[in-house]
Amino acid sequence: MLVLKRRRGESIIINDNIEITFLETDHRQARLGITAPREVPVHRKEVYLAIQRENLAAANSSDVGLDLPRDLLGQARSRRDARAGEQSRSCSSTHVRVHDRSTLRSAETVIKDA
Amino acid sequence: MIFDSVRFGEIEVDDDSCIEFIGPILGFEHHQKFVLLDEPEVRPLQWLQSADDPTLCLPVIEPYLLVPEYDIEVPDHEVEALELARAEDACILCIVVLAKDSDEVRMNLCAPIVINLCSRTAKQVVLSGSEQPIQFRFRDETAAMDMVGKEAVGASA
Repeated sequence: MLVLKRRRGESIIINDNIEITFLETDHRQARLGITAPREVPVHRKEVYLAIQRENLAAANSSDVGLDLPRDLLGQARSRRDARAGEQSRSCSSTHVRVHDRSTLRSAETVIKDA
Repeated sequence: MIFDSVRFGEIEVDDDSCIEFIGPILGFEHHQKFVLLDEPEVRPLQWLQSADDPTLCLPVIEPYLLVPEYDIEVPDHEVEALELARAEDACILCIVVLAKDSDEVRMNLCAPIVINLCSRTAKQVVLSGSEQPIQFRFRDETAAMDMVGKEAVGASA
């Protein structure tokens, strides 16, 4: 890790377009100011890691869990149906016909009615 | 194109139904191509299946169907990155966790997936500075306010 000493008000520049300014310290905390192009994502590391962890947990979702949210899905379905008359367009997804998981399935693209 | 999915078996989809992630799903940075799959028995839950990795399949749902008051503003630079010309071209999905070892069901309201339905491009958008929870739990909504993302650092040009 590159370690640099900075006084209050001093900055470092990364890659010509990112500036990190040391604003002030209070005994255990430092305040940093970050100026970066808008397309450069800046996150607190713990937030970044929490989202990453959550995505990994989602990828490990189990079918056991699928039995549980039936009531939630029921609610969601009725909200979607209630919304069906409105002009809002739902996400087009590929609908997979379920026959037997071991066999080839054909998939067709549908625009959902919601 | 044809690809394998552990959940769905071998699947054939039109090339133009693939979704290209122009910003990563955090933790899955190397996966850009996905397809959104629908299983009738668990509708309106959907599955975001990686076209490259048969084992990678994420449950997603339109958050409004479960949390009608969910109201977010997609930051301008994300709108630009996704080239979203009109609000109705956007589809917002939240990633769902169906826990393996408990009856917990939760949804990430802080980092929704925003899809441009016209261009079929997508991003996981982190709503920095919003108070949306990363873990919104359905079983115990009072504990849902896991405010890890509460005071995220803002960046400006």
